[in-house]
Amino acid sequence: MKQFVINQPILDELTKKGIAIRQVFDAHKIFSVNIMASPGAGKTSVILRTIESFKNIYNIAVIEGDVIELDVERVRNLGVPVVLAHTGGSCHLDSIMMEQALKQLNLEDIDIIIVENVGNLICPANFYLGTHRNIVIASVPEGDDKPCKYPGMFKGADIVLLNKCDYLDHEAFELEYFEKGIRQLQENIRILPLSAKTGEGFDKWIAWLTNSYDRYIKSFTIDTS
Amino acid sequence: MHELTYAREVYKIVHKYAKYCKANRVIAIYLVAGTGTGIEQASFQFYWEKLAKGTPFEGSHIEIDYINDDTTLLVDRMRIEDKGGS
Repeated sequence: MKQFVINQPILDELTKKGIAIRQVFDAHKIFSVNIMASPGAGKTSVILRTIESFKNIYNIAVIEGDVIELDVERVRNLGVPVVLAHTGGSCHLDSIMMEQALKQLNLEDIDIIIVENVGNLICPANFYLGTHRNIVIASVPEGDDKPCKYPGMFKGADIVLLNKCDYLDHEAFELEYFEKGIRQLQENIRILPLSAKTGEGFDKWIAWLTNSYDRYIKSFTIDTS
Repeated sequence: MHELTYAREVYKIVHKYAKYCKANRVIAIYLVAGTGTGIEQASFQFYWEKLAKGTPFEGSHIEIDYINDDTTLLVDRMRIEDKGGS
């Protein structure tokens, strides 16, 4: 018997595919966001309201990580291109699923791609999809302990949206404890309470997304001065 | 369920290296995983056995060495029986 040292990351191949996807996005100047949350946190509701705010300004497309077309139909009803990235029941999206989904979109006509990941606060954080920003959505009814329970997810976030903030007065949710849990992982991260139902706080989220998109587009401008 | 994806990726890696070192049979595979990745030994072994059935990896033992982080997922090493049977 012999021992053979390998020392190779398990997700190496998938990560390389994710990097290739990022190159495709950049070649088309498409800004992309990966939306992650637990089931029921309101990913689809946030996406729908975001589309409503943006659809006459930017060309948006959506990739839905799911096994059925229910959310796909909801997005399609708003008149934006949407494709299902079929997960086969898996608990996360990976770069192979993304690659297949992207083949179904006309990338020439898109400014922003919103990816709705599978409802799960552990696995999606481990799979690089090539997207530019990770958006993590938590919600008030889930409880204030999610950042403490799922640090991997919150550690990798570029912004945290606290959805269903209209429930803050009705639930035993300590905003300070929730924020502290996140700040222990990332001191300066933006945390935005909002409600996809009432629209409260949405202006700040839309401003953040607009600024992120503008900065992304400006990054292609070569400074010749 | 994510163990199925991990098992598939481990299979590809081990297959490549087993071919390279002319392994007759793979006896054991050693992984290193962060506790925050949520990879579970029994679940991984279950999917691994399904994938390995009828291959030189059938019957191979999987051992996961857990470390305290959120991201590490590594195929560390494997124990093999080479073409000479040793």
